[in-house]
Amino acid sequence: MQDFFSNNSIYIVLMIVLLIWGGIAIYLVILDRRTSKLEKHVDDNKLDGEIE
Amino acid sequence: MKAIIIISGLIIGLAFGLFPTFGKAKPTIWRILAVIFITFSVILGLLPPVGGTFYDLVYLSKFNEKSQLDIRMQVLNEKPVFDEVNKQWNAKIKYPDETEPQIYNLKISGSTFPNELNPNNVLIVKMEYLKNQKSFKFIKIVSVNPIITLPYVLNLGERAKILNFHVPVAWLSVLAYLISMIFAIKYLKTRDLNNDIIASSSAVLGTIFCLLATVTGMVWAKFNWGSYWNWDPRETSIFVLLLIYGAYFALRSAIDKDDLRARLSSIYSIIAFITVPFFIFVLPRITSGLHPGSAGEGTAGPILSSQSEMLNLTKTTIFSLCLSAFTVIYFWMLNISVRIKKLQYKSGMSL
Repeated sequence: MQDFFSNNSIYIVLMIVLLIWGGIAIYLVILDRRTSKLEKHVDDNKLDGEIE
Repeated sequence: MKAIIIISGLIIGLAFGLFPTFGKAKPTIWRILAVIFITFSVILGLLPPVGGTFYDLVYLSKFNEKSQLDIRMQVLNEKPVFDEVNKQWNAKIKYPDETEPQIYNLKISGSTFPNELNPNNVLIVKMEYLKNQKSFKFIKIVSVNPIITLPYVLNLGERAKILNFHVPVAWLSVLAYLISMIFAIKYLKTRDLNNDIIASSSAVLGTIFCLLATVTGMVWAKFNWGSYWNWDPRETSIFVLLLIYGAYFALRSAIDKDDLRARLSSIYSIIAFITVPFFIFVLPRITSGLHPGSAGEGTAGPILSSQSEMLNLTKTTIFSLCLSAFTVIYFWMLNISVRIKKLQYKSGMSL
């Protein structure tokens, strides 16, 4: 496997880009879940009038 | 020239990210432009092929019995012919920049790429050099007439493109911590909780980018230096930075009252930022180590050094574009997380 990666280094670059994208994607998913919880909270408590 | 390109990339990213609003929803046209810009920069950071020279290949063979490299070649004036029987191209090619070029016959069997070859096409060909037999062998054609070709860097080759992703992420963490400090100072002046929301969201993003820089650095180190972690000064200093901001989050989670939490974490954020430029820019350059730019090397690293052979203008432009793209990503993520936190405060939800 070491040989394959040494000869086709573009896949190492790809791995690193996927790592960065993965980290950003995980954070975006966390944010999305928080937004959904917030929306549920607002709907349940009928807080629509208070939010701009 | 290099400095101008990099600074203008940072300014473009800042302007794009800060305009038109900071804490409110961005308009749809901004979002569309941001997605297009980021996609374009990432593609440009990944795709251009690296084309080396014969001398690079022969030099590489000093370290290995067998070495492979992508080499830039040019087809001569004769029209190449595709041999259907052996499935190979018969073409006379030469190394483009030599005044008295050696002419080679291109024979790559088993591949039908490309469909057509014309005279004077520039090719990037993967070649192998066997040291013992002193023979060159063509393996495959990587691309035909590429628009941009990057030069080959010794010990790195294709991996030089990681520079476009690993370094912006690290620099962005400094920017994020700086913005966290600025809004911490603003909070202490105005006691407005909105500033504390921005400061803490920015610190979260800064830590995420710092962690990403560490992890990508570890993967790169595995292939360049042999192991994932070496306690190199640069690796140690970024680990210490992660610990410092880990303490920031521990402090925030230990306090219940909003204003007390905001006040204490603002003070900590200001003090913590004082260490950031030292750990990221100064300490790794004054100690000797494995990472580029350390003390024994004589340059300040490939990007900040004024020597032009470390990064030519094409690579600097591509790097600068990726830097702007990551800045836009950062501002967008900050915008979303600030809006969510404000909504949480307004609707009375516990954080």
